Amino acid sequence: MMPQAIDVAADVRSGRVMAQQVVSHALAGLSALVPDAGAVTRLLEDRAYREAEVVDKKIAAGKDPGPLAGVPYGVKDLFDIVGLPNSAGSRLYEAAPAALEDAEAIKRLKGAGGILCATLNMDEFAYGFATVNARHGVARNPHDTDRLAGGSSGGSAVVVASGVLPFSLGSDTNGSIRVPASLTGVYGLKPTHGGLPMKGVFPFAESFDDVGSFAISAADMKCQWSVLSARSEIATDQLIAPRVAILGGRFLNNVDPDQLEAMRLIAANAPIIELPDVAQARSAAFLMTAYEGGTFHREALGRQPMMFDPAVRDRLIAGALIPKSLYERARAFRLQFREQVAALFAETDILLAPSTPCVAPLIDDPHIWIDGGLTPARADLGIHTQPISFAGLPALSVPLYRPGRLPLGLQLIGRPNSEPLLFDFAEKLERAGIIGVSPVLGAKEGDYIA
Amino acid sequence: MVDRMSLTPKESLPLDADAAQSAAKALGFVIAEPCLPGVVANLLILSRHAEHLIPQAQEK
Repeated sequence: MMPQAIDVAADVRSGRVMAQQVVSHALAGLSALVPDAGAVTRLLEDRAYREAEVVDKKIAAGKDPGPLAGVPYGVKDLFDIVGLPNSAGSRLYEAAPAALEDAEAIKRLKGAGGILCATLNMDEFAYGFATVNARHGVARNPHDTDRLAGGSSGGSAVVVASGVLPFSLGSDTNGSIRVPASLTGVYGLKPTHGGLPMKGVFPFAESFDDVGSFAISAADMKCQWSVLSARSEIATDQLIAPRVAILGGRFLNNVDPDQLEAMRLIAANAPIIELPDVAQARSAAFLMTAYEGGTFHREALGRQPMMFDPAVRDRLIAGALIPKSLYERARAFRLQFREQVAALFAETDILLAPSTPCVAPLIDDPHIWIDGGLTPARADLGIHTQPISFAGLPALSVPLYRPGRLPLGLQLIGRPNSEPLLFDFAEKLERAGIIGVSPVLGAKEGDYIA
Repeated sequence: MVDRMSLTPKESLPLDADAAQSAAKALGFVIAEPCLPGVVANLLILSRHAEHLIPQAQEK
């Protein structure tokens, strides 16, 4: 496994290892994933070595390349990368004009010394919680390759959970980072809505779209968020003892017993509180997402429908047919919902909730139980993440530490712009041994230091 | 007593192939024939979400 990003950067900055060695190691790992994992859509070898050379030259000249010096990473296949078309995981845009510049998030990572190595698989146009892509295949869960990795940022989760890259970028509209993070056992952040730069990211539903990262530790997540949000300093330990509550109702009606036990362990006497109108919130989010996605693609759906992934196409067409007045009703409900949720934070600092209602479903039987009924995983794995996106809150999905078992995650949810508190709280839970990345069975410590 | 208001006609979704095709044409595009069954299935899912959202049960 690749060490955490801050340790890689420390090795590179100290001259213990060259960025080019790290990149070589990462590219070899990514190449090994290419045939079967359904995670990698493009290897960016030339670019990666060029960026690594720049980092190594800076170090040789006595300059500091930044907090991510020489750290390899990949991005979901919907970020603009200079010189390449941004296909958003679709055949429709494979021959689109090349991007003239990198997405802003990539620029910031590059400025901190990060090395972009690959683009990663996703549900077409980010519409799904499965990462089953007609063009690039199914992203397989490294903990059990017969199971889904989740989506829509499934490739980004797989490369980190496999230990090939220490971090990656994804996007989260309704749970597309938190769902695969939970199912593959890594950390995944959906930031405060609008908190990280979206410039140069292919849109899905702009009312909810955010970018965020996958990582293998809370400290790494904090470092990446700091770079992506362009904050040079992050206040730590804002609260010695944050007030924690557990979300009840539908969240606890659809929960794995291990998630329940972990929440009790984290906050034994925490109150259970209800998110008001949570089922309606999910429905409103579902409708708004479908409308915005369908409207964005409407022209192409009429012109070249057979170029779309069938599973996505039919959902988008249906979304395009939603009356605008219904969409406006959902938007109005959102305002009311956000006010109600904001009131909850008067007496609470962190809310706990499951990230997914269950472990990763089988690829050959992609269904899950929700409210006592069997439903399609592609649409419903985000049952616990979608209402949080609807409220625009930051949520960090953290992996329960459970080696040898299929991964599961919890959401640490905060008030807007409270990400540093979530990172600090997660670090405390790591120290307590409650959360942490459980290595994939058979994974070996990678030695990138020759 | 709990009364459940219904969606207004303006807010209703087309729920069969003909209605879906008409709605699409009104928006300036045609739904390819092979897509219609999948589109209608998804419209039914959206319809359930719409009923869930609007309106919530209201005390009279």
